Parts: sequence; C-alpha cells; structure tokens
Amino acid sequence: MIKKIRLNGEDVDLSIKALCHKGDYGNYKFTIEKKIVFDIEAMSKKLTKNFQLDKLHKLFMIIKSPSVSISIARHGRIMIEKVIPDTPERALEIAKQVLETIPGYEGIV
Amino acid sequence: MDIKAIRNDFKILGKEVIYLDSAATSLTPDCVVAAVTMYYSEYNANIERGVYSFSQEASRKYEEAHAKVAAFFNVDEKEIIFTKNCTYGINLIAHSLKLEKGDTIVTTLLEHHSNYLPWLRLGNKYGVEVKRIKPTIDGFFNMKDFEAAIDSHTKIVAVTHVSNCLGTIVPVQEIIALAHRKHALVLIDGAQSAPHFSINLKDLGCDFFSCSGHKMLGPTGTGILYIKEALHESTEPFEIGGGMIDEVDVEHYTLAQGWEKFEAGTPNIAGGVGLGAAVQYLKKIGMKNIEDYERKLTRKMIEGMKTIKNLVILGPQDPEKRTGVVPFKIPNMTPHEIAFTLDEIAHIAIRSGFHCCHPLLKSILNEPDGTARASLYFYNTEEEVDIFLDALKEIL
Repeated sequence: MIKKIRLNGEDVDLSIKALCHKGDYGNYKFTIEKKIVFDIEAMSKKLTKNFQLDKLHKLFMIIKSPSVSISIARHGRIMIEKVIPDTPERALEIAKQVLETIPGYEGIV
Repeated sequence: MDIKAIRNDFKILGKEVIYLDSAATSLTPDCVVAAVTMYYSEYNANIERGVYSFSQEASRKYEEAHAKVAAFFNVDEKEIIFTKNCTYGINLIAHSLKLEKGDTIVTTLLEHHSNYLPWLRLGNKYGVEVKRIKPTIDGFFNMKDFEAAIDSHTKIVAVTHVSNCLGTIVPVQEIIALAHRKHALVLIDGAQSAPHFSINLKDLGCDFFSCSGHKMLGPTGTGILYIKEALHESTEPFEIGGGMIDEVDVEHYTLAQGWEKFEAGTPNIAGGVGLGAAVQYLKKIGMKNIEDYERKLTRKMIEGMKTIKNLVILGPQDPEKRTGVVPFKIPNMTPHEIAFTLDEIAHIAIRSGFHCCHPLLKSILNEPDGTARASLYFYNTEEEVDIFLDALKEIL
C-alpha cells in the first residue's frame, strides 16, 4: 500500500508493507520514499510523552507502549509491531503519532 | 577457494550490503544473469516445436540445462523436472498420490510449510492420518519415532534434508532405508541442502527430491524436482496441456516420457537456462569446497555469538551437525527489531519472523514472536562475520 504525506509543502510517498506476523497481531513497516534524515533525539523527546524509550542509538530508537512496539530509523523508516486489529489502517493511525514529530509534516494527503 | 575472485563474480556484492539471508534466496552470479539475458537477446523463442534456428537453439539450451542439473545430482536427465520452486515440486507429488482409507502419511514438525501443508491438505482430502514426528528443540529426531510411525499403511514419508529454521542436518539416509523396508515412498525437501553440499541422488536413494533454483544461485521462479524413473509411470502430472504429449486426438491423449511429461505449457525457458548456468558455476567452485568454507564461517559465527552476553543461539551448537543457517534471539528485542537495527547499523540483511515454520516455532520451540536468522553462503567473508558480531554487540 502507498499513501501520500505532505512534507514541507511537498507530496511524498509513504509505502506501507506488512511483515511476517502472528495470527493475532500484525507488524508493519513504513518507508518515507524521499531522502530524509530524522533527528532521532529530538523525536524521542516528543514521543516519550506516550511511549517508553527502550533503546536510543544515533541511528535508530525503539519506543514501546504496553500494546505496541515502534522502531524508528534515521533514514525515514518506521516499523510498528503488535498492531491490533491487524490492518494497515490501524498501523497508519499509530504511525501518525511518529509522523507528527517530523519537522515540516503537514498530514496525510 | 579464492573468495575475492568469487565475490567479483557477483556484481550485486559491489553494493553496500552484508547479505546474510541466503537461506531465503541466494544472490545471483553474473554468469547466471548473462545466461538469462542471452536467451532474451540472442535466441528468444519457444522450445521443442519450432523448425527455425532460434527455437532449435532455445530447445538445445533448455535440454542442456536439464542435463547439467541431472549431472550435478548424478541422475538421468529424464528424471529432472524443472518447476517454479521447491513448493511446486512437493505439491506435484502430493497431488499425484492416490490414497485410500487406512493409508498414512508421515512427516515431521521440523518442516517448512511447503513440505507440511500439502500433506495436511492431502490428509483432509482423503481422510487419512498424517503422522507428525516431533524433533527436539535442536531439530534432532529419535529414529525410534520413525520406526514406530512408518508401517505397511504408510504411503509416503516427507522429510526435510536440512531445517530452514534451525540449520540442523537430518540423517535422511537412515529414514529412507527405514521407509523403503516398509515399502513407503520417500520425498526429501532439499531446499536447504542442495545449495550447500554435494548430493548424489542415486546414492541417497529417495524417490522424490525437490529443491529451489533461486536458493542455489539460479533465477527466482526456478526449482528442481527429481522423480525416480521407475515412478514416472505412476506419477500423474499436476497440470496437463501443451508441450507434454505424445499424441492427442478428439477423445484421447498420451503423455510424453521423461521430464516433458511433467512440464506442461511453455516453461520458464530463460530461468531454466539460468539454472543450468548456476549449477555449472557451483560445480566449478566445487561443492566440497563450498561445504568446508561455509562450515568454517559458521563455526566462526557461532563461536563469536557465544561470547555475546544474553544472546541465545538456537539449533545445534556443533557446526558439523548444521549448515550456515543460524537462528538466534536477544532478550527484550523482537526478531524484527533485531533485523531492523542490524540493517540500520551496518546494512546487514538477515531474516526475522517465523520462516514459514509455524508448527515448529509454536509447538516445539515455543517462540511466539519467531526468531532472527542469519544464513551464510560461500560468498560471505570472515570480515562480514566480524562486522555482524560487532553490530550485534552494538544493539545489545
């Protein structure tokens, strides 16, 4: 599935791929199809309001809540695990919380 | 083996990647890419029926590819059927079996879904029992379980040669001998063995052997199915249609002999020619050299991983009893998190999840999230293993 998001006034593809998963939950990977570099540390500060910081590395971070686990890589990749119900739409709802921490993010087109 | 020279044969290795997912699909050497390209650019035509030179050339190359693969496994060319993948070959055999009430099928809980689901479905279709032998958590079997399960009612025993999930090498020769004593047929899933060590199918003695071309340097969409010649008559093709008949009239048809009987319609000609080039390349490197080198790399990887605190390696600890498939887990990290972070840190490509082995992971290994799995091939280097080990330490 490909959605479009608006970043700094420009429409950019956001690809959504289902990963190997268990029957009762889904795992999804989101890729922003444009050269981008996340400020992982700044994002971690915003995201820890709703999530617990599990790992912080210069290239990635892993944040968790009781229900989901989110891995965020510096070059525009987001992986969300344990998505219930197992639908890309539900995964996208969760991903929005991450996308909203990106400077210049204006929403899903 | 000159690894540097070998790596130069794979253009893709010039990219920034440490490829440790060869158990899923191997990389493709330039000679295979060239063989595929040459078909399309030099003699693109359908095979076997055309009088013109392109068709004759395509037919000759496709037949030569069968001959190369047959020689690779030391069997007759007639016995080698090109399929689209290992799964297709197993399904072909499952589909051709005619079962009756009271017959049984024996398989194991070590199997990839490709060698498990066709038998489950067949069991349901004919209402026959599918007996499932349980492995240990390292993927070993107690031969007494096979002795107890296989009897005069057993129609077929279907077992993997090497576990795609644990890397364990299964002593299939013993199982084949046991099954044949009870007059049961034996199918071996060779997807994880054929690429990694020498297999002489005549010596092995199984009735059917299926493997993937794309795991042994061939193009994707290629597979190999061996059917012992004595069983050709009783094995029905999965599909019928063009290209596999001797004669057809309004009411009747007779099927061709040899591999043509089982390859209905226009086959993947370019893929088949590429597969021929792949086995020729493997033969040039030498399967014994490949096996020895991979074992050395596997030993290094396992020894290195053992020194990493909290990391758990699954499968046999002894590199002699496994191939270069190395599953592992790290506490408090999901397999996908491990794969995601290794890719980010050092462009390391590993597999994560259930590896199409849900029965094993859920009922034997009790790994509800699956595992991370690194898998080696002969184009990997000791330096790559070192980088992998360093990256693991970094994510812990």
